[in-house]
Amino acid sequence: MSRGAASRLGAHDFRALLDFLADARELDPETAYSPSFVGHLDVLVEGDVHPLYRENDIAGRRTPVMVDADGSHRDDDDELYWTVGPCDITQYRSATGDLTSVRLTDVVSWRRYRESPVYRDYFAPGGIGYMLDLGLNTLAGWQRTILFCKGREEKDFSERDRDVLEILRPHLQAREARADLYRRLSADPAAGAGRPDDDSALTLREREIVYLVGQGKTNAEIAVDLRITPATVKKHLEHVYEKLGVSGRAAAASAAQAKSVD
Amino acid sequence: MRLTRPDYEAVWEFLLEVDDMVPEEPYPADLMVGLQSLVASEGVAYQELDIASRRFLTPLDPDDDEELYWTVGPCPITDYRVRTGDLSAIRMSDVVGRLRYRESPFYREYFQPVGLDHVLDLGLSTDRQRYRSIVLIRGRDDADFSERDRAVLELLRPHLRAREARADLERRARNPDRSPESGAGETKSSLTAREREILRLVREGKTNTEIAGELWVSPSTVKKHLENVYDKLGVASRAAAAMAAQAGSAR
Repeated sequence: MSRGAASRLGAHDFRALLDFLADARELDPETAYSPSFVGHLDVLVEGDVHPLYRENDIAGRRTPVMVDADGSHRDDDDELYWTVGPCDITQYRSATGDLTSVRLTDVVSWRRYRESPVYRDYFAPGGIGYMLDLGLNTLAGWQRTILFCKGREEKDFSERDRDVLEILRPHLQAREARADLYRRLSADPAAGAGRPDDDSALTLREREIVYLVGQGKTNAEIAVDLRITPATVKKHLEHVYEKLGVSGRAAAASAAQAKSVD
Repeated sequence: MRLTRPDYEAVWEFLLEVDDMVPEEPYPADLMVGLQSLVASEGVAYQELDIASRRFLTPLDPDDDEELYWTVGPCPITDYRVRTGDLSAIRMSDVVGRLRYRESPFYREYFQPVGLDHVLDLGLSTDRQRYRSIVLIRGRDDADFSERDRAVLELLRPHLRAREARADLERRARNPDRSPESGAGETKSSLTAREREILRLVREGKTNTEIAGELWVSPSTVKKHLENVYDKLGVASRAAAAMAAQAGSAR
């Protein structure tokens, strides 16, 4: 949340968010993104909007999960979408790793979008003009987002809409965590109890080293700090790169941060 | 760490109780009581420390000696947090060897006289000036906190963060001009769109030359932008900048 966003929103926006959060508590806490929850997101954004939750498999070029108010279904035109697409927001997210809420018009010029195959062949026939998207996760080529679509005859999403979505983020994360907890509890007790946690979790030492990398320290400096040899630091970092699937110090520091924050 | 079904059940029950607590305050007293039964402990507190001016921003128990704390402290965990930025749930025994801890002035003069010993701490936020956490303490005669306790505390993080965000919303719904408490995002707001774009590419592990190629600018322009970014974020390297920006955007 930036200071700018705070000043764009008024008391009634915050009140609307609180009302939404109160409603959301009653909506299927066992599934993070149930049709009723996703459908209800429309009260947060101005205009006649169609909210959906989607998971994009970037490497596999498909959208295996799509949920809207009508239910959870595969998009019939998945193949067409990935032939002419993906849309510029998806491309932007996979290129930058940025998860902030963005409009289509923030990442591509209106004119270039109107001339693109994904607009002409996919969105325009469906009457879709504007989009607003909140990134939930882009790690490892698997992209999860909340997408709002609007007809081309409507006005574009506003800065206010962007800010409102951004404020929603921690609450969505809590909702995901709760659904995850529910899933563990409803699983077969024998199997569920022993489900091992993330294998890629960094050890305490590895985390410590990554954070020192994040402070801008060299391997030699880290070695002195931790009273180990630079070769050991290097070895730890190799494990970190492998676990996080990255190949540089900066990427490791930021991936580890993203992981601990998620 | 593998948690068992009863652990998940206990956390689920705890969250249901927490749902009904006042939303205006992230950490009301009854939440602390619930926390103490979820992870058995002698004492539990939400604490906010101003490292730079060496003082507690949250009220202390009447029998806590703040002056002594800063004379022999800060506590080794706080020291570790500020040094590394790591916020994961950790025990005292994870950051300092048993023997060294027992010999430290902090233990001998601050904890030992009142019979306290083991500490488990869930970091909530830190920059170089401030540190916020939930801290649980056990006495000398008790066993140290377990891996299970650590994992349980870590499970609570997103829910505690959502409570903080919700309390912030409640405050702003009543008084929209008041800026959010968390200062973490504020440095980032001063970055320009171009600087943010460059930072994102840095996070990808791209070199200046690669970034220059993508943005159709010269590598020296990229370098100039990055210098401004370092300056604004108060950091000294690519990796630190990538991390500081990430920490800002995640809030």
